[in-house]
Amino acid sequence: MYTILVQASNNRASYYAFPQSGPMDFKSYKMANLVVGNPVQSPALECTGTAPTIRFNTQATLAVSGADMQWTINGKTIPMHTSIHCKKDDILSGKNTIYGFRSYIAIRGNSLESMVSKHAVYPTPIKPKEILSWQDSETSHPHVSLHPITIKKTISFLAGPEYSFLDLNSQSVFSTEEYEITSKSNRIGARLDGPILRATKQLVTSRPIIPGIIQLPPDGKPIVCLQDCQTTGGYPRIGFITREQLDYFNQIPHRQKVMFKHID
Amino acid sequence: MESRSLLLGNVIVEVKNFKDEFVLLTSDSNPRELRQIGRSLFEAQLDAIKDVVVSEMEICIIPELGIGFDTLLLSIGTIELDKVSVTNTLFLPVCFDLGRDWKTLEEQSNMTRQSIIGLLSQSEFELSHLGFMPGFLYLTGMPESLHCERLSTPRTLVESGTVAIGGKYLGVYGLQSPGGWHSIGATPVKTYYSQTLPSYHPGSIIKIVSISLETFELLKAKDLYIHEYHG
Repeated sequence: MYTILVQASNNRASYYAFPQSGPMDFKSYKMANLVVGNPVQSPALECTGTAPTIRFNTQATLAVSGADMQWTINGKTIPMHTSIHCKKDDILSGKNTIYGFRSYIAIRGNSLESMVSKHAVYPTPIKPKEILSWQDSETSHPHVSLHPITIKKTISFLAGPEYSFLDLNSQSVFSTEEYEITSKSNRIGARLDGPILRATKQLVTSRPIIPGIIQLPPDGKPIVCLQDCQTTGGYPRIGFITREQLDYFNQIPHRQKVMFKHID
Repeated sequence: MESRSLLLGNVIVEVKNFKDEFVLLTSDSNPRELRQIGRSLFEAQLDAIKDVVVSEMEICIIPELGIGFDTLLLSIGTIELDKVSVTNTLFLPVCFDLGRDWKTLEEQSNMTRQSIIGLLSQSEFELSHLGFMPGFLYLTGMPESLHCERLSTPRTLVESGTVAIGGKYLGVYGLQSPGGWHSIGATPVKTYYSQTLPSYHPGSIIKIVSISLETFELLKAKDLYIHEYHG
């Protein structure tokens, strides 16, 4: 189980080398918040791969979006993307994901927080028995949404600043062959495995990197920089995935294959 | 990819647009001027800009969603470079007795520990960029004779406060992390700011003050940030 508290922020902290961080699938995160009537950028739980089990010590209004983890309350299946009321002592749970990779749980109210991970640089996984608190707000107006996520097997990418460092064969290989998102991937980066790519040059100084940039380390296996990536890196930036496409990419489970399609 | 030239102050900047997802700024002039532009862009807090990253030779701007290249260029053109306050100078106390890799460094540079410390204390360093982790400082200005290869196998854990040499840089670890640089000492002051904006920025001048183990312990107990230490 890997569940963390996420929040999209506007704090411009990359200048001081803080990772952008925030939700891996912004669209689903935003939807969960909208459905319960929260401001779009409210804190929410991001669950990766497997659902957590959460007991509510008080009544709550919540919504689940993103990956389908066969969500239940007290063992009964619940619909996703819908505002749901639960009572004191209700148990929200689920199983392994059957569609997608990351689910979002938004709880109506505004300051969902965990005292444990409050001051961490990187999001820290919620631990068993950890208590989360929030302030319910009665005044919010929930939206209704019935749009589940779509899983894509092909992700579009654009040429990065050092795309021309790739030899011609590698340029064509990267947009025609399959790559596996290995289990060594995390929120910092997706490590890909597939045909080796060759760069004819290396960078002399490190350059800015942002989530979505595809870097090529000397071993020839590309890495897609993700939400918690550092702000500079020394490997050629051969391509990049747009913010919109990155939401799709981050819903592909580890150990699955993906194709990259070069677009202009 | 669209590319434009822009005159900012008296610096010609090459601006490359990557599908409105990010924009890169480079310049053939002195990297210090690029750092100054980076700082102005950050401090101006422009509505069109979501984030700014300043690396040694390149600035990356992440525009807000939906901001087109032309609007962004107009917005960048409004920054006032002369409004930026002068570059600040900070003092970094370093206890060289706490270095772990003196032996390798003496061998690689063919110099004694004493003469290396002497050289470092006389040098003026510039914070060239940030980036590995928050609180980690990349300092340039180290004499070429001290440039050295990184460790062949990185350490899984480097203590916060470690001062180390990697390639042409002197580095300060603000947080505990893995690391592949040669440790030459430790600083008792904090460079990682969790609650406030750091006192440094790319372009800040950093001067090293060599301190004894006793002073190290005394300063450590005071729990100071780098800007609270005045040499």
